[in-house]
Formats: sequence, structure tokens, C-alpha cells
Amino acid sequence: MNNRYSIQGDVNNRGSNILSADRTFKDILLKEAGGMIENRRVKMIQIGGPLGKCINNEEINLTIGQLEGDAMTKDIYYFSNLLCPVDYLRFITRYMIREVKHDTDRMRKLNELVEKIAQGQSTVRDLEDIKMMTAGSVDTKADELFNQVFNTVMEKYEDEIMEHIDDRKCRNGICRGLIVSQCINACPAGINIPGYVELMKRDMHKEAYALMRQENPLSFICGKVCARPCEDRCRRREIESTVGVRALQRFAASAALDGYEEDRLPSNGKSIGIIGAGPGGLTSAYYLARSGYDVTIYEAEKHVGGMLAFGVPSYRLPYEDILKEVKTIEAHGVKILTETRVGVDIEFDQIRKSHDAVLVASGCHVGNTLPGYDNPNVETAASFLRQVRLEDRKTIGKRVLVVGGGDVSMDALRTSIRLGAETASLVSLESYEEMPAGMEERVQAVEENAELLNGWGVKDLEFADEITVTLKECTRVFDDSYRFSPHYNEDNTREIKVDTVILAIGQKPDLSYLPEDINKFRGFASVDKRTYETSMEGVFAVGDASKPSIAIEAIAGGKKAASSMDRYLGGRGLYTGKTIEIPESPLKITTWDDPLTLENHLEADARKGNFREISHEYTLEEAKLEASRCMRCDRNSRRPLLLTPRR
Amino acid sequence: MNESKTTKAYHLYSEEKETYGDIVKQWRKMKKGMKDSTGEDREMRWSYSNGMFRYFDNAGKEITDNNPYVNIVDLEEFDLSILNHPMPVDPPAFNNKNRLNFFGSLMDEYSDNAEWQKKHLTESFERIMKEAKGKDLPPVAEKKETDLVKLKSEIIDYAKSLGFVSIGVTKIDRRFVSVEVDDDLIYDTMIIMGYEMPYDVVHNYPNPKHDTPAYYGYSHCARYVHDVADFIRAKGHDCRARSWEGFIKYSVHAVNAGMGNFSTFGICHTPEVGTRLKYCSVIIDAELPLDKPKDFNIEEFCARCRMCQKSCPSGAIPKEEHRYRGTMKRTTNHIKCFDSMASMHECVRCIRVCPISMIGYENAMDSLPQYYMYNLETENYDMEELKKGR
Repeated sequence: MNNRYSIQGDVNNRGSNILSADRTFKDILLKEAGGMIENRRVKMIQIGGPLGKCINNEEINLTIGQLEGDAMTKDIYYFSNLLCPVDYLRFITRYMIREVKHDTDRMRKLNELVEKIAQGQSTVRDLEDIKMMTAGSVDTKADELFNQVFNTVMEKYEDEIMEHIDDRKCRNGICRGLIVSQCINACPAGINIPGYVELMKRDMHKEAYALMRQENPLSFICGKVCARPCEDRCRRREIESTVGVRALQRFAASAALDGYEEDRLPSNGKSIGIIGAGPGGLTSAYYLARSGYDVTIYEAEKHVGGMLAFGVPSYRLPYEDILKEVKTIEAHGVKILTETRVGVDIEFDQIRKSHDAVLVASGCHVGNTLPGYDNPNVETAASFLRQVRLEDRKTIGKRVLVVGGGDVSMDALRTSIRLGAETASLVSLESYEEMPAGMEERVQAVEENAELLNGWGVKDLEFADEITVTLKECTRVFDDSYRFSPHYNEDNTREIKVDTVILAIGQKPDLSYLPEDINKFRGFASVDKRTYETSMEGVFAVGDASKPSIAIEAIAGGKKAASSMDRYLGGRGLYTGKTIEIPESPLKITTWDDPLTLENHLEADARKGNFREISHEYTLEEAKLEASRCMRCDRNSRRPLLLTPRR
Repeated sequence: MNESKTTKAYHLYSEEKETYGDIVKQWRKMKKGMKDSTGEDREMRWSYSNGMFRYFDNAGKEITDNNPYVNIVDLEEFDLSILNHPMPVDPPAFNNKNRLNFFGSLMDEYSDNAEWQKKHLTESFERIMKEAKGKDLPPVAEKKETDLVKLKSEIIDYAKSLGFVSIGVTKIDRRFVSVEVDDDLIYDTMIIMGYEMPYDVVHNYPNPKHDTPAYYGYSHCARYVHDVADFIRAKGHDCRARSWEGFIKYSVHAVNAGMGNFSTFGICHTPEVGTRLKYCSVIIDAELPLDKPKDFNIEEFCARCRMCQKSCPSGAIPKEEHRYRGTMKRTTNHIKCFDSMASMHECVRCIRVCPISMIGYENAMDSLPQYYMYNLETENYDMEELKKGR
């Protein structure tokens, strides 16, 4: 039977469509709805209005007929991964009271309880109360439908609701009572972004940098390479376009770094050993040293910076820039022993014995390979990038194929172009839109004449004078639960001939130097998610060594681990400098007329064949204009909206 | 209004030497006279100039009281407060003797049509005042339009053709009417009409060119409100045009008429043009079908924006709601606001910086979690069916 349905929510094509009952929600999403906006993931689908049935992404293959029942309206809403279950439940209770006008004691109480969760004032008991109050038989149809929605949402998104209660955290930044601003909430390190932007408006760059360093001692570096989760959740982006948060960070840090000095606490006589001078290790070292600890970092390589130094190519981050900021960390008395590989030059036990606590932050440097295809012309991106950066490698095959769609692949691809590869191609399972690599990287790679082969996987490699790569069509990358589970069409293949294949299909850590009694999971160090402590007392782990992610995650983990180590050693909390006051003044009223200012960058032709840094810092005028675009969401009210009392 | 008279009347003890007994005697006499001359359908309340004042049955009270988007938290407190301290004729800021008196010259300086605007503002206001007292009333056609649904839609279409962008019908809630204006409002049903202040005029701020938004809005209300009233009279119904001045508190009535919701700074935010409009109204003797209040998700959006509050140069817009005469609201500080208005060419910064007013309502709604959009479709739901027993 065909009916007219209204398709709404976070989809590309909203509107009314005639659909038959045997259509699945997945099919409707792909055809009529044109997919989710910005390629977001489906989190929840609701049919039949606000009190209709809810399903999650795993049930997307159900049909309208299987679900509809006696739905009240012909609405189908698709909600993206930005849905917050707590805010949704809060909405439903308000809807029942204000719109349905079903203003019962039970509704009022439930609203109060959900509002408590949304404000971060609840305990697990409140959740139990909610569960009890939404179970059992009810009198009206409204109550019945309401319970159904409540129970489904609470069951399917329990983890996220518990996060609101236990960690006082709303991961999507929707619950206003739990966040300061969406950008701060989205930043793994929780940098006070509106704060430093405000200071920048007044040319207080030293204060701005000091404020950033309260959460991130590698702010200058991050100002160049951060994956900027903050800009994805910038409130201004949702209304107009994002504020250039990362570019501002870079400008302020750069302006402040020259002659930058900080105070620190006197030595407390305790000693910390850190393995690895990457973002995680350096961050921990900074906070601990500033708080009075005696910190020694053991670094296997000649260079400091970890993945920042040998993973990120110098056209994005010159090595001198890393040194500039590392110097500010060394200024607190941190000793960095380079070319000291643990397990070779020094044993782990020795480190453990000579320090009160040890942090494992040795990263993830071993590139995954394709078993059975060993050949000198098949390299891993990790070792390729490292050789280029540290060993000054200058040669590469004429035709290069990079396998993988992430940021590392992009780095390898664009580095090959700079080494003089005549053709550089990249093959990724994902479509162009879905690629995990940042959009900026994708655009710039194409500008540099790289060829992106999206939607293909590697079927076979044949080695002769040249390498013949057979690709097979990839029909899907993820299953309906968004787990990596590629499907291929083995019959649709294509061949390309290349000289070098670079594999960027993930990396794993080498933790063989650790003693057996430190638990590992799939090669990664297992840690307590709150304390970062491993199964061995006094040994902590952070960064890619425990969970692979982006630099800012490692930095965030570095500070939390430092704080946890400080607690473990009986400290009274990390010292991050004096409180910096954030001034408030009227915002610029014509701000909506100002579009986003991008950093100037080298034209594609000027980029090829050299490793010159691509992007240029803002000028002072640009930086001030961009800073004035910030909406200062941190100044907003966090109180719940009022619900008029019952008459 | 004559200020010295107001002051004297409000402080009954002032100047003349009266004994307490004299005042009591006088008061009793006045009260008796009032009661004798008051019909059954009227109640009494305090007035600033006459001691006591009467007003009609309050037809709009029920609508406001049951409107979930008007935050009266303590009804009893609110009613008592209004009875004892009704809305003044002018906003308090107008009584500030030190204020700059320069709105007239503002028009001359910045408006290309200053003469046209002043002419209509004066003529139209005079006509309104005369008609309110029953003088020079235009004739009402004999043939009465009896289909009120049709009448309403014709009125709306006509008003829209004149340039009004947002139109709603509700009952007057006399608690939100300035004291002493009650008697002018002889009908309870009110058609509220908002005239847009053009985007370009506001967009020129902070450096106004060719026009100033508020006076553009006022003068166009002045020019067209009588046309709507005459149109209604031609349909056989009596009515009175009401002015764009603050005697009837249009914000709350507009929320009651489902034209929008309160913005951060308390004006009714409409989906059509945000707060970029000025209101006037026509009161009519016909029981036109009323519009229902609606949740436009303005509250949710404003809670995640507050650009006006953060941009206000005088700090007149408060950050948090507070308790005020039995309601919970953000009361804009009139005096601070007025100083900015007077000294900064009408200011209008709160409108200039508002994303709903300047970028658009649809855009604002797209930035919210999409389940809030269910609020916009409540008419699709049969709420009564839902509340029935199983």
C-alpha cells in the first residue's frame, strides 16, 4: 500500500514522498532522502511523529510496514550522530506537557528528572526512578506511546545517558547545562577557545597563549596540524560558517612564543620517567615539571616530537616549529634523552626503579603490511614518512600508489609528489565524501594533481619490472552499525601499473620492551579509562600506545595522565599558572557580514617538488577580524528553559 | 501626558495641606462614585492619575494564563501586581527628564521621506485618537459579512497586500494594556499586524542611510492601519484602528496570537522577519476565529545564541531570567536601552546582530536538533485522541 510520507531530519532532501510499505528505511534514506547531511551517520530513525516508534541505525533494514502500526502521523525523521538522547527525552517530556497538554504529575516528575540529568545534577538513582516510572501499565494512549519512546531511547543509548550521569558529560555538546561552549566541549583537551579568542581581540597574545597552555602546551604545533574537532562543532558554523579557531591559535602562539616565560612550583623531590617524546609524553612532562616534579623523557629517535616529527611532513609542520615549543617545556627542567631506545639502550625495569612513576607514551610506529606481498617496492607509510623526515630520503618510484584513505595516506601521497613522483594515486575503499582524511587535505591533494581512486580495494599485486595492482570494486565499507566490514564486487576489477606501493592501512605499537605483567589488548597497552594506569602499579600509558587517535587526543590524555600520576604520588593537583580573567565587551554587531578568513597558502604549482610550508599565518588584521567573529557562546546562560507551572 | 499632574495624583499627600481624615473622606466619596457609575461587566483597579479605574471583563486573560510560552509562574501574584500597579501609559524610560529629545530631528537627518513619514504619523495618530472617542467615525457598510472564517482570511490577504508581514488574531488581555486606555478599547477581538522594517535599512547600521528602521515601521503602520480598518468597515463590521505606540503591549498579544515567541530581549520573534517589525492593530466587533499560540523553537534557538545580549552596548538585556511581578522573564532595562536608542540613532543593535532577523528563521531552525521541528507540526496530531483512555 502506498502512502504519502514526510521525510524530515538531518537528511539532504527533506520533503514529501509517496512510499510503499515494503520500503526499508535504508533504501528511503539513500534514494528519496538523498543521504544524511554532511555524510553524518544515522543514529536514530523515528516514524509517526514525536511519539512514534524509534529505531537505531542497526535496524535500518526494517520496512515501513514492519514498524508503522497505528502511527499517528506520516512523518519519518532521520536523526544523525549528533542526536543527544538526554536532550531528546527532555524535549519529549516538554512536548507532552506543552503541546499534547497531557500535564500529569508523572510527566512533571519525569521532566524534572530528565532536566536533572541534562544539568548534570543526577545520580544513578534518578535513572532507576525514570525506569520505574515508565514501566507498567498506563491509562491513556499518549502515556503508552510516551513510555514506548522513553524505554526505547533509554535502552538503546544507555551508555550515552550514563555518561551524562557519571562523567557529567554530553559528548555532542547539546545539553547546555553540561557544557561551557560547544567548541570547548568538542576539544578533547577542553581548551578555553572563546577565552583566548577574546584576549586576541585585545592583542593580549601572551595571555592568550598562557590560557591555551593551561590545557595544551603544544598549542603552536596544534595551531598548524590539529584536526580541529572544535571547528566541526562551532556554533557559528551551524548558523553560518566556522570561526578559524586553529588559525587563530597558531597566530596567538606564534606571537607569544618569542621570549615566552612561565613560573613553576619549586621541586618536590619526586621523579617521573616518560617513554617517548611525542605529544602525549611532552604534555605530561610539561605539567608534571611545572608542578615541581623531576621529569626525564627517554626518546628512541634523534628527534623529539614523535609522530609530529616523523609522521607529519614538513610542508605542514617544519621541525624548527616543534623545537620552538619543546624548548618552553625543557625550560621547566625536563630532561630529554634522545637516541635512548628502551629495551636496547636501557631496560624498562631500570627506568621503573629509578623513578617514582613511569608513563608509557611510545606511540604507534609500525605500519601494517599486506602479508604475502613482501617486496622492496611495497613500503609502509610509517617507515616511508620517517625516512623522508629523518633520513633525508629523496627518491621514490616514478609512479606511486598509496593504499588507504586516512590522513597518513594523504601525507604519504603528497610527500611522494614532493619527492618527484610523476603520477601519484591513492586508492581508498571509501567514496571521496566519506574518506576519513580531512577535507583540506583532500582538496589540496587534488590540486597537486594526485589521482584519488575512491571506492576500490586492492585485490592482488603482481611483481615484475613494474608492479601491477589489481583493484576490485568496494560496494560498502561499513555495515549498518558502522563497523568496518568491507564488501567487494570481485568481478569488477581494474588494473594499474606502478613502481612503488605505499601502504597506509593502519599502524600498531611496538611495546615489546614492556614486561609481561603489563596487560595488552591487540598489541596496545590496556589502561584504566579514568586513571590511565596500566596493570602494573605506578606505570601509566597514554596516546597511541594505548589508543590510536589524533594528536590533540594524545595531548588531552597527556594532561589527564599527568594529573592522575600527580594524584598517585600524593600531589595536590597540577599547577597550570594563575587564573586568567576573560574580559567581556559588546560583540561586533555587523559580524554576520564577515565571512570566514582562510589562511593564505601557496598555490599548487609552487608546492610541488619542495617541502615549503603551505599555509601562511594570518596578518594581525586578519587575526583580529577572525577573532571578532566568535559568538562567545561561553557567555550564554546554562540554566534550563522554564516550564510554566501547572494552572 | 502632563507629568506634574501624574506626580501629584500618584502621591496623594503632596503639596496641599490635607489631614488624613480629609483624604479618607475624599477617597470614600470617589470610590462610591466609581461604583455607582460602573456596570456589572466591569472591574476596578488603580490608576496613576485618578486613584481608581475600571476595566472590562478581561477576555484575553484565559488565553495568556494558558499560554505555555508566556512564563507567568505565579498567577495570583501577577494579577494582584497588575491590579495595584497597572501598566503605565508610557514606558518608564519616557519619564526620564534628562533624556535627549531628538527623535524628530533623527528622522529629518537620516530619512529620505521624513516629511511623508511625519505627515502620516501625525494624521494617522490624530484620527486614531478621534475615533477612539467616537468622533468622525467612518460609516460601516450595511451588508454584514457573516462568514467569519472567510472574513478573517480576506482581512489577512488585504493586510498582506499592503505590506504587513505577520498578522494574528487574539483577544485583548487587559492586564497588558496601559492604564486609562481601557475605555478606548471597546471590542475584545484584536487583529495584530506587523510591518516589516526593511532588511537594507537595518543592515546599514551602525551607519544609517536613507531611513531609520523604527520610524520606517511606525510610519508605514500609520499609513496603512486605517486602510485595513476601512476594509473591515466595508465588510459591515465596526472596528477601531489602534496605534503603533505602546498602549497595548503587543509582544505578549503577538505570542498569544501564535505569531511568534519571545526573543531574548522580550519582543515577539516572528518566523517571517524575526524582530525586524513594528506592530499596530485593529480591534473589531466580530468574533473572528482566534489563532492559537505556537512553539516556534525560538526559546531553544535564543538559548544557544544570545548574540543580542552579548552585543547590547548599554547592557540593557539581562543574561538570565528573573522573577518579575509573578513572571519569570528577562526584563530589558528601559532606561539603559532608551539612552542607547536616543544617542545612537535608534541603536537597533539587538536586531542588527540577530541571526533570525538578519539571516533567516529557516537557517536558524536548521542549526537546531531536528526533533524540535515536531513543535512546528502539532496541528498534524490529534491531541484529544491521544489523551483518551485505552
